[in-house]
Amino acid sequence: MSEEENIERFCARFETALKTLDVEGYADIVEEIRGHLEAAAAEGGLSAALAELGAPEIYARAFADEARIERAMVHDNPRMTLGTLALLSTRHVAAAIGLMVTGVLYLFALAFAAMIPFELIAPELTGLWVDPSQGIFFFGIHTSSAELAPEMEQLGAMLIPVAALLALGLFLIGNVVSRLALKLMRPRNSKPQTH
Amino acid sequence: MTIDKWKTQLRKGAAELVVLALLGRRPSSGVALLKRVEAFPAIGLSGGALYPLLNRLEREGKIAGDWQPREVGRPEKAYSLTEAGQTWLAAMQAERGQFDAALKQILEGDA
Repeated sequence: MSEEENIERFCARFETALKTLDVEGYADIVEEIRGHLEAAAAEGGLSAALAELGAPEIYARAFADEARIERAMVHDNPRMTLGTLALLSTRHVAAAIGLMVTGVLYLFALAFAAMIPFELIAPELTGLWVDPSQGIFFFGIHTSSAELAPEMEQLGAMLIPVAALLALGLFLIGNVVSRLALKLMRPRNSKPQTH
Repeated sequence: MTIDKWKTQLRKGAAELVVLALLGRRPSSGVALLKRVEAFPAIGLSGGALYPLLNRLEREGKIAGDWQPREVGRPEKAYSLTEAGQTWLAAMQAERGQFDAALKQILEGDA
């Protein structure tokens, strides 16, 4: 295979990888790398240059991950942040931990938010039941009111603002955790690999 | 940690400063930048590392890329420092100056 064919082959795979990873301005990046490889070939160093870049699909990630993290940071959209963490979770420990912790926090936030309509529809099944003598502590939506005496319920109508505050608080903490995970990845990714 | 790993970390930390400082002196393409860095093997910035770094710096608005025609061959992207990049470079150099001074004091036994 000639050097030109080697360059074209690398660039074609690199372009496909960048497109797949949804990297903005991929055509410019490919052209620049093509120029880099052609310059290396002109000096007899194409093999070394190709070896330095590695597999095109892996090299494309160096452009994609950073861009993805930055997009999520700029847009400050919880769904985008969570999506970015999910996509990067297989390659970054910080993303995997951030995704797990944020997911748990969002689930709890959702559970507390769900208590609000239940308190309006079925107040006898929704609330905070506490009875230290019997070792009872239950906060949430129960399936049967028979097991929990109404006098043990502590919050009454206050459950709605308490659940709303908890839902909001956990959602906001989830946002902070997910953005923190992105920030933790950013310095590592934003700095280039050196040899 | 081996000395090679430590050296890699040191180089990673310096790469952005190196690129911005070189572009601050005169605009360059990626290929030309690599040639300029090659004169300093201790910096150890590779082609594989340079282009994602240039891409990030451009997205962050610290440098601007402009495709320029050449007499021979395909056009090349020449990068120059933006105003934001100059400000950032000055801030980085100030921090590095303080860091270097403190490190020198510690290493020379003044601390």
